[in-house]
Amino acid sequence: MRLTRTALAISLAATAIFAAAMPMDDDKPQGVAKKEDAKPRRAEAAKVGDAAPEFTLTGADGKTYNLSDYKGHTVVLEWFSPSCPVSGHGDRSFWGSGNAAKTVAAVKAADPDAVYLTINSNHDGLGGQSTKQQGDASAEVIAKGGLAAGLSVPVLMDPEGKVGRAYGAKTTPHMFVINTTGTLVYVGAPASDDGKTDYITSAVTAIKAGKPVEPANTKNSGCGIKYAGGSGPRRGGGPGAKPN
Amino acid sequence: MLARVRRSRLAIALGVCCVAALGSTVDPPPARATLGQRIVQGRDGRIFISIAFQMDPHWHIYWRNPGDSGGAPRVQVDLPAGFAAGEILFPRPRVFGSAEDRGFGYEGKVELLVPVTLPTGEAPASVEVSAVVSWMACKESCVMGEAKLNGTLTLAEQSRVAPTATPSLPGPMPEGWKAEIVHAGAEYSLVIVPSRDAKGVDAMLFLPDPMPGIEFADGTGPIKPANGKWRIPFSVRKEDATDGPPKVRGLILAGGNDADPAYWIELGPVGAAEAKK
Repeated sequence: MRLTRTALAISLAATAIFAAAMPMDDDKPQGVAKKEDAKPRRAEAAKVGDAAPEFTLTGADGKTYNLSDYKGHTVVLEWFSPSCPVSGHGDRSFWGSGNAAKTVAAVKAADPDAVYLTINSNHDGLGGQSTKQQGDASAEVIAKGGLAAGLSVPVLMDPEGKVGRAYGAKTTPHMFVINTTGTLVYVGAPASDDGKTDYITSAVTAIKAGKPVEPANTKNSGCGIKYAGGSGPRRGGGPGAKPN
Repeated sequence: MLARVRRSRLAIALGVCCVAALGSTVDPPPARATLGQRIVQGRDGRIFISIAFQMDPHWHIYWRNPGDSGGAPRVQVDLPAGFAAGEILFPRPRVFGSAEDRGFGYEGKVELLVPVTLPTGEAPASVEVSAVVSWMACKESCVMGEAKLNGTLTLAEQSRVAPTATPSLPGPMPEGWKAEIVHAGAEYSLVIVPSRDAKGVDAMLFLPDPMPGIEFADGTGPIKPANGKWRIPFSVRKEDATDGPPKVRGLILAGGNDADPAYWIELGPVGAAEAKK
């Protein structure tokens, strides 16, 4: 019997927003009368069009990485976790599937001078792992990620979460592209839900061609970043939460 | 040989059901999916395949918009020629997590419904159906799950199947409610005006469906209404609207309980004919 295949891929693209209704009075906005869950982090996070927040982080390789070192280069930042099944854990993850390595290769093909960095903003001690251990695990995942010969991707450790919060990184993966003048030009997912559009390579290609990056914002999904002293674990969570 | 029966006289039951788990990053998986025991028929006459999820305590799966993190379930259905399946219909989700990591989804158990369109004219008495279901389940950490679900649909002349017991499947806004987009320059808002006798508006929330080019302001908690009008600000970035003119779409949650109603709204395209503030 011939089967008709109906794909019901429900979009992972989803706004990361919990919008609460605000009352109006005589059609005049009253502003935010009260915030039960004020989130200053988000208000302070960089947006597309802003100058990319400067950072200095230590890599899992022990080297120091400054964003300013890459002035004049397009920079791709990927938030990463070695224990997240969407990011780095398992053969269906971004890195385990080889999709990350393909993205890196495509980025370098589009612009050989582009820089690709990963950042791990999970807090020290997550899942009983020190920052050093998380860094080693991250580097191991990426080393096994199928990168083409001659390519390498450093892992920058951000255990205090300052850089992640400055950029508004929420999940792993979560992608950010910075143009050659240091402006944030893309925030969102690595690729479209159907995998047909590589947003990162498209952005790098557009920058190289001097064209605007469109789309500049897409919905990302993945594991929530476990920030130090910040985003508490979800219901049922608590001390001793597993890394993600 | 297959018996032939008229579609209009069909009640549909899923005769045989089996589940073949394809994998999970945790064994045993904390969330499990099964194909429903029968095709259910909604109050409006539509019929659905049911995908039931059972989660271990404190684990959750996600609504179509997972929130700040997570990922929505995906279902790929194989049906015989002439049959067609639509988009998953999600029941009213819960809101969970912290202010910095807000999620929309389900704990315990939930039933997702996939609408099915039967072929015109006669249909075979029984058909094979399979569905590949994948999902992300989270507690403190997250795992991926996938299962291939198979079953035989029996299309028999029986009494109609009772309406689905799935609670809180969102419907349209009830009579007397109003929703519109207003703007002043580049400042846009979704304005919701519940009916005067509406219940549950003290805890009303709006969960936006992700639409390219539309971004709602970051989350705040529920705010009590002033004079019955609610405003939810959002911004429009037409350059991000890769699928055409952006629309506003989402779910209104009235009341704070799972059994309270939820209303699905879709407005736009934005930029066409909104009222000015």
